[in-house]
Amino acid sequence: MIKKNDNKMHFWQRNSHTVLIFAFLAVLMIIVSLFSDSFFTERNLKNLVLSAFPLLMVALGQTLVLLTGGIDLSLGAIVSLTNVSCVTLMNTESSVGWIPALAAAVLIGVLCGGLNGLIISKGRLAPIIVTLATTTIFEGIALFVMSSPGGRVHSGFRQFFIRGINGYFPLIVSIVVVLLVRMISNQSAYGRHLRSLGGNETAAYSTGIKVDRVKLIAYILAAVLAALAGIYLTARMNSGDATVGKNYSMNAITSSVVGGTAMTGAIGDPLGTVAGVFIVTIINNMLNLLGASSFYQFIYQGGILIAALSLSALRRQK
Amino acid sequence: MSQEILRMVNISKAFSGIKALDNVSFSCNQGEVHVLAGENGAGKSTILKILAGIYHADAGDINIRGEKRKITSPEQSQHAGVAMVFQELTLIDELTVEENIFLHTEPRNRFGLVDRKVLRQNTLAAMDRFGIHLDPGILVSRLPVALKQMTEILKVLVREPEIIILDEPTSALASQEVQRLFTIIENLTSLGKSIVFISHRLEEVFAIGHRVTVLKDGKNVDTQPLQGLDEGGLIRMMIGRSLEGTYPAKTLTPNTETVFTVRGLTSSDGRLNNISFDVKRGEVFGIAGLQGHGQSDLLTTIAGLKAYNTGEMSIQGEPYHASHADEAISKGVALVPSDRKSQGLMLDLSVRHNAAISSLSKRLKGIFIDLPAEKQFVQQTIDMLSIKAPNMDSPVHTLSGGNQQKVVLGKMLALHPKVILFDEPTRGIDVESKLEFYQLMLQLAADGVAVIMNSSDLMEVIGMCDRVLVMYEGRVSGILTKDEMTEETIMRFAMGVASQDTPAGNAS
Amino acid sequence: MFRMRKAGTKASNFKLAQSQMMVYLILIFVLLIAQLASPGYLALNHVAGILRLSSFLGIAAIGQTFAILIGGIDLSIANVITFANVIAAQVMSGSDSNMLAALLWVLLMGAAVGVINALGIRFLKIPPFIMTLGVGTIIRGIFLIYTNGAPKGNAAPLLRAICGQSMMGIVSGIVIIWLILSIAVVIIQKITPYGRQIYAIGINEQASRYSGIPTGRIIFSVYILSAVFAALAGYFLVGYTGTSFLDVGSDYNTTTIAAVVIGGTAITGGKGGYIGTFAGAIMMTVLNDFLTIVNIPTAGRQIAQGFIILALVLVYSRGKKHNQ
Repeated sequence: MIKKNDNKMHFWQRNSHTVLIFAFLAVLMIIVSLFSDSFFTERNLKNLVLSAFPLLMVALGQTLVLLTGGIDLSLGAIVSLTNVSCVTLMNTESSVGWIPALAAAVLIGVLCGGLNGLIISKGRLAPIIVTLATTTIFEGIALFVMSSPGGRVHSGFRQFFIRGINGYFPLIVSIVVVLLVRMISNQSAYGRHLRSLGGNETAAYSTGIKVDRVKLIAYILAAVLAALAGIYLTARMNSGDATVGKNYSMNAITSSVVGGTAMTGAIGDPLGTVAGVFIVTIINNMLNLLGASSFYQFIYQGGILIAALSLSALRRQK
Repeated sequence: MSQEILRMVNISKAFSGIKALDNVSFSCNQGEVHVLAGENGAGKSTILKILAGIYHADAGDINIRGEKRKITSPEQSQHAGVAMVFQELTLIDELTVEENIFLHTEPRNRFGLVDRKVLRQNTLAAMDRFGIHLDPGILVSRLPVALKQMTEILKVLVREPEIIILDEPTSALASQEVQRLFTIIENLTSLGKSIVFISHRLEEVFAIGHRVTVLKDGKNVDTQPLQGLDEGGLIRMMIGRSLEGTYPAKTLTPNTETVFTVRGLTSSDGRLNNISFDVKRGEVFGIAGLQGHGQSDLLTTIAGLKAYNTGEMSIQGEPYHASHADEAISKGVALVPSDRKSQGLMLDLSVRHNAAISSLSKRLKGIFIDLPAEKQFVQQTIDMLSIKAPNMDSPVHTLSGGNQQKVVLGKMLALHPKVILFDEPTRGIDVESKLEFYQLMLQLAADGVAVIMNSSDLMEVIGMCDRVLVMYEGRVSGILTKDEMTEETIMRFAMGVASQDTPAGNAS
Repeated sequence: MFRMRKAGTKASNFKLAQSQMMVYLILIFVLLIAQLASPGYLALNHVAGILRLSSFLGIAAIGQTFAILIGGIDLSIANVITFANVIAAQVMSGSDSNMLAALLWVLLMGAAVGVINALGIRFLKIPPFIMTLGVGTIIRGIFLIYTNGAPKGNAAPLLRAICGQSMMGIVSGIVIIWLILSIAVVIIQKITPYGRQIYAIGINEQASRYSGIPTGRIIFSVYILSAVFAALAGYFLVGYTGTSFLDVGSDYNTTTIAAVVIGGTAITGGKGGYIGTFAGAIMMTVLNDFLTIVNIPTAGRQIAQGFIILALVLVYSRGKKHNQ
């Protein structure tokens, strides 16, 4: 007999971290608004989503990979690579000149993710080393495509991405992507398989799950999300820069982990990652609003990462 | 008349030139519980893994329902209607019971997502059908071992196998849980399923089995219906000799000097409750009871690996306390742990490194390890314990279970401990090594070391120990002398039916 | 467990040492190719320069080797190097008499960072990846704020001499320092109880604890060592470049991990050691240097380096499987 009580307990067991982290985010936003009364304005919130968008994409991808018990350090490099490729392939004259650029960006994502996934699964190598190496490779290719920042971006494409639908386009895309990723990780059979890899890969294999395929798809999905971030940055920066993605991998890990994703795998919720991304992004926003030095963001980021995990650890010990 | 559902014929299998199975055959009828018995290393696990598609046989056939089947992968085995429940469960701790049961076979809705409602319905239906009831929404990590095993069994059953293999399913279960398992097995046979069951516990073999096939050293010994057989007969089939010779003769009678005492040991998590006992010089002191009643906790607590709230201990009259393993070892208390692969040894390191690791500080030249002295020490240990290894630099995972266990013991002996705790010391060890181990234990006791042994093998306890402390739910149920030690008496105390607190003592 | 694979003899010994030796073989191979492709590569002058350049990575990788051996990792190395670089330049301010004080400050900072890392990892049970990443990021914030984006100070002439061009004829002082440290580290890892215990913990922490190894204390000490060596590398880097730079340490997380891994140490710990890392550090430097000499642009160099790391790691894992 399944009692209502049991359901509540089960909910809490699985989602406690997510609830807590959103509570923290809410408190954080309130505190920030006390320092700056322009925080809760439509304009500022739109800007917030705009600045958080690329990290959100990459962090969602990283979450999927972390669930398998792996890690992808090359996502930042993929962001850079898709950015410069997009700009290079963009034909600013034609009205549909942005189509090949976008298609290429997604394709690059698939190829990069495929490379990562194949080497990790078939080569049986540790993800940290493989993605460390592919970071160098992808960064190198990006530098090759565009050795110094520049280029021009199709203005129609840019307009739509940044200001489309009254400026709400990025927000809409974010919501759609978050829901999709969450559906995959929490509600689909594939998501269960992802988690079982992170939980006990041998057991997953014994159950008949195609471990190699699950891994491959995870790394491809993450890379495609990174490509999405690269496309977006193309629009926002109106140019290409082979070093633009440098910090995204680590920040994505930070956001995921703060959001409750375990580095050992199997545990994690994309919603939590969303909270993590905003917690990481908001302080920059605040620093800008206050006109403070942007150097403080590092202290804050490192601090929030350690604080979030200390709390997790302390809760576990009870 | 039930028909034959499985027949494995003339199966042979060798690993790196060493024959694990030599023309082994056995068959199983529909609705039967067929037990595979034999010593460790007899080949039981190997032949069943061949049936499960994990190993490929070098020669021989597998016939299911009279049809020859090719089984070279777990998938093929499952298609043939075979399912195996291993000792290492294939559950994912971070998922719920129902998610685990239907892992890789999740019901989907029209969007391609998992249909939670149908999943729950199917889970409850399966639970009703097979008579196993659990909370479907609970995370597996929160379940005790027995319930995890139930989940694993359900996971296997929902794929509707004809033949279910259970590899030592009762080794981690307490007796009520074993009863529950047996009820489920009876249920399954009445549904027409056939069960192949590996067990070392003779009482269980007789309780649940219909026929038994005994293997020894990779060959068939015999197949008999269990009805006409008695324990002695079965043992003779398994080890080729009767029980008497299995335990070394005791030449020393323990005297009255106490070498180790424990008073009122209690832990905060409730696993230990007011444990008190003495160990006398020259005796082998046993700990017994059903699985999971605190025996391992007692040993690890004494060895400094677990904390305790209250209680006192003393070694040869001196007070003893340790809150860390290194402290315990430095004070003369050594533990040979129950799981040698994950707790006792560094499998990838050599015999030498494993044997030397606990006593490095004893062989120093300045701040460096005295390598020649270490070599000498390891060689002495190998000779003294008769450790069979190609050489001392071989990785320890290449050794047999018995020899591995000797390395663990040798590692601890290097510190000249005053108390040695053995936690299930002969689990998974061949007969020769077992005998050698017993002799070593007696020698240690004779030398004045307090020897404490926890074993779930009652025959071993009766054969080796001078006295035994029987635990029940973390408490001392009774301390029995040699004369009082019978299987029945120990079991009564282990099940809490008898207790030395009641005035009648053994009577009940 | 059924018995056994065929008994190995001294051969199995050899196989275990093989991956450490392999990196030296590969290094020699690479050097020969470099000499062929660019004659004069192995000229004494040039080799001395390579060794000099490798020594900074080599020293920083000492700590990373320890951290990875014990089953962890240290991602604060990059920022500790930069912070040490900043502190050292500032305290030294171009004066020989301040060299010792600068060194002491730098080592103190390293120890402090190491202690903080160790506290989080040991007592809060925060995964090393996260703890060192977080602490490293905080350190970055600290030195950015402290210097306000413009680091001050410069190297003492004596330090420049040690780290600069060949001091005693052909070999730089820094290379000698590196060699001495390397020998000490290898000895510690292979022939002291401390080293043995580190390997044991890396292979199986639980069994190590059961065997009486004080695992908590040792893990704690390893993270202190790691940060201290990183700080040391940052100190000497001031001597090499003359002043401090805010991005001097940036690549060191990646390059130290790469040096350790291509040196044959398993990323999961318990196997390998600094002998291999020593060659790994030289190899990383040679790769970069050689590719520059043959005029491959930065982009190409990076791509090549990435592929070579992958190739080497694949070779090692094939080798291990063969032995099994």
